[in-house]
Amino acid sequence: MWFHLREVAGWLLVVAAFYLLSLAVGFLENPETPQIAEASVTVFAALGVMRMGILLIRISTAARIVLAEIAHDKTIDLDSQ
Amino acid sequence: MKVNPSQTKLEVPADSGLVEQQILADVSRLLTFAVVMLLGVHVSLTLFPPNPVGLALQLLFVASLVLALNRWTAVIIFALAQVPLFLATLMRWNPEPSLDEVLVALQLILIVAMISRLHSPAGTSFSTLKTLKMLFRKHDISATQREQSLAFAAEAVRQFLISTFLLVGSMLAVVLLAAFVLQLIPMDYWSRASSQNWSLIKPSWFRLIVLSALLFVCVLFTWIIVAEVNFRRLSVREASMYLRSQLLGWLHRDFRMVVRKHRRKKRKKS
Repeated sequence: MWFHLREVAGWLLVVAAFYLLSLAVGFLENPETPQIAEASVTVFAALGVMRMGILLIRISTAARIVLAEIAHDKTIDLDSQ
Repeated sequence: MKVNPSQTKLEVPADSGLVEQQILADVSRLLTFAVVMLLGVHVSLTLFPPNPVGLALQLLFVASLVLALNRWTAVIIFALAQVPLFLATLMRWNPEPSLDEVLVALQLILIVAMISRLHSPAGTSFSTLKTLKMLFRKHDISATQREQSLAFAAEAVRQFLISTFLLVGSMLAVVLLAAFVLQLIPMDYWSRASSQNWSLIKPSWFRLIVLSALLFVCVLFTWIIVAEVNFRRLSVREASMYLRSQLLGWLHRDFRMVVRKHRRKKRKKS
């Protein structure tokens, strides 16, 4: 259950990162006053948030795979006893 | 027991299943290479103009295709394909590509996909020539075996045609999907002049930044989806290895640094 929650939190972080990216793209909306520095800073922040989100998703996915195998092994042991 | 040296030269596997697999793989590889060459020659003739520089580039393009038998040359092929496209874009900005341009792009993607296929089985592609030579030499193989080989080769051709058809179909599906996704992008968002044409974003350097940012976001989105779907297919051992390596990174950064340094040294030596 905890791993599922962590995965959801990871996806939320990824969504937040895409929101930040859309903000960064919004800085480039007007060619007359291009805010390139602001857009670059926002992109870096978005990439950091995205990295954290992906890490959280991957760790919870890997942990679920390992835990499922452990639970499967335990069931087989109990059946054989 | 003595072994006759002429027998060891044949290297025909005793198991007929293995012979079948080898023939199937090798005929398929030869056909793939032939299609790559045909497409490559057509693309090079379309991309490069018939002047001395263009001819040199055509030769370079075809040479990089021949090299693909033994080396991974997809990057060189893409780089060469970019030269005329880059020059054409500088001369005229065409927001709506013609059917010919789309076909050239599709052919380039097919070439790279097929080169990737050439490198997918274990071993080098030159085993193809060796195998064919071995199979059709008179003193190496009996008439029955040759008939069997020809039957296997026909089966290989059939399988190759089916897989190529599927490859072309999947490429077309990807291109159509990409066109659909690009249509969803709100183009009028970028220009205040109530125009829906990217070419009106001025100056040109700003247009480059805007379009690069847009492309970056699209690529990032696709990459995350594909990578995360793939990650779910990890085996238990791979998953536990990933967890342990992450834990090592968090708890023992110093040890990780030592391992990295060691790996860098090893890479330099090799």
